[in-house]
Amino acid sequence: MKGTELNYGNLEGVLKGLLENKVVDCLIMPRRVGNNVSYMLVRDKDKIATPESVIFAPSFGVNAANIVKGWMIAEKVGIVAKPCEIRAAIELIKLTQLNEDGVLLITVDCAGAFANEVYAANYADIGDQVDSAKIKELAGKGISIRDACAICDNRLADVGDIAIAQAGGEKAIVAGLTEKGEEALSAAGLSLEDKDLDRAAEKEKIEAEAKKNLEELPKISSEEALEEFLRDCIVCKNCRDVCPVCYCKECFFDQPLGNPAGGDLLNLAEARGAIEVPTNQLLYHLTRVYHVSTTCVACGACEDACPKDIPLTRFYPVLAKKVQEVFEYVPGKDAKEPLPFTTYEEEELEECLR
Amino acid sequence: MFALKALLNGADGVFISGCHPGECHYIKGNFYARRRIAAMRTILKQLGLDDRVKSYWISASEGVKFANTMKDITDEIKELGPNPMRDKIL
Repeated sequence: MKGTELNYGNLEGVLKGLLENKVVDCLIMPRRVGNNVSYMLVRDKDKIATPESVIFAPSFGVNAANIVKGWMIAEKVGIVAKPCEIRAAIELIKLTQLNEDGVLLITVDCAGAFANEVYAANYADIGDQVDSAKIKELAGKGISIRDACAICDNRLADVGDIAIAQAGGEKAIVAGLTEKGEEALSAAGLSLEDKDLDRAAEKEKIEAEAKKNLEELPKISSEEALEEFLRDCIVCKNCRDVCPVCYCKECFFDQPLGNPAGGDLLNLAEARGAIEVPTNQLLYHLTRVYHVSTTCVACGACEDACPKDIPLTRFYPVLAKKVQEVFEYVPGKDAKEPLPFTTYEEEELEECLR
Repeated sequence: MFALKALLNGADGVFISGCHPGECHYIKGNFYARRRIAAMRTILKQLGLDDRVKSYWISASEGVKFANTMKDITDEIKELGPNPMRDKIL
């Protein structure tokens, strides 16, 4: 791996260099808005200011990959985002919903994030970046990271084309993870040397912590529990709209069969005596969880988007992980690994059918 | 999704079948199908909904096997009793 160690202050030059040298035509990257953080699509390098104060900010609003979903354009888009967002972008490439040659994926280290409204409200306490000790300290004050982040075991910048890793103090290691990434950094004016970004011990620690947190998360283990869990669902489908890997051009649940109205609904009620309305609450979520089960990157955007505050992390990422374990597949981990539903082995899985 | 819909609509059992893997008219069709069935059933298992779903590979020339399997499945489903979903307002 080739990369270089930089002071935080020099990150601005690297990102500006990518635009200035036409390595990318635009960048999608976080920006500071008061106490909060949001994304901007930037084409003029002069609009980039002190990115080091915001790219590591532990705040999650939207999944950046959802912004570029379906963008099959020739212009090259650089995306500076957290590992879960970059992993979603990689899944979109595999799903042919994003042009691989049209993106430069730049991943930043993530220690876990707060919902953006929590982050903004507690900015004075949280600051521009956190580490696991700080997260524990804040949890003591009742300021907790999102459930999706607590159970996340992929927080290090080790996916995509370029990694921006925290190296302690005010230093960052910027390294190319792919040939494309290395070329982009060179073209942006960085001189690269051989860099070792092996953080196996740190990764092990994160995985152990994530596993413990996952075990502590309340389980939905029966159909009755699921009904109870989804009771307040208004079938607004926000969880679908913000999901970076839920991509059907025309969702079944927007069609007459999936979203029946009027006479169709009366006929259904006739057959069953009575039906829940808004309709298809259970079927919608069960179908959706199956649909995203192999590609869900467990970013938790669905939970953040739920207007009824249903803790959807307990449903989507948790169930998807079970399916991913069956296929030994970690979405977004390896850009070359085929999607589980597009490949097979001749002898496999019979035990899952019993 | 059709399997899910059948269960939620109160079907007592759902049977998913096909020719033996490797013997599909669509060449690779049932290899892919097996993956999809495995994914769906993994989810249903977590929610305790999998008991009523059965899947076996039986070819068109295995009449006896088909009849026996259907008898076994019918017995198993009878033991489970009617699907409680049928009377629910879903």
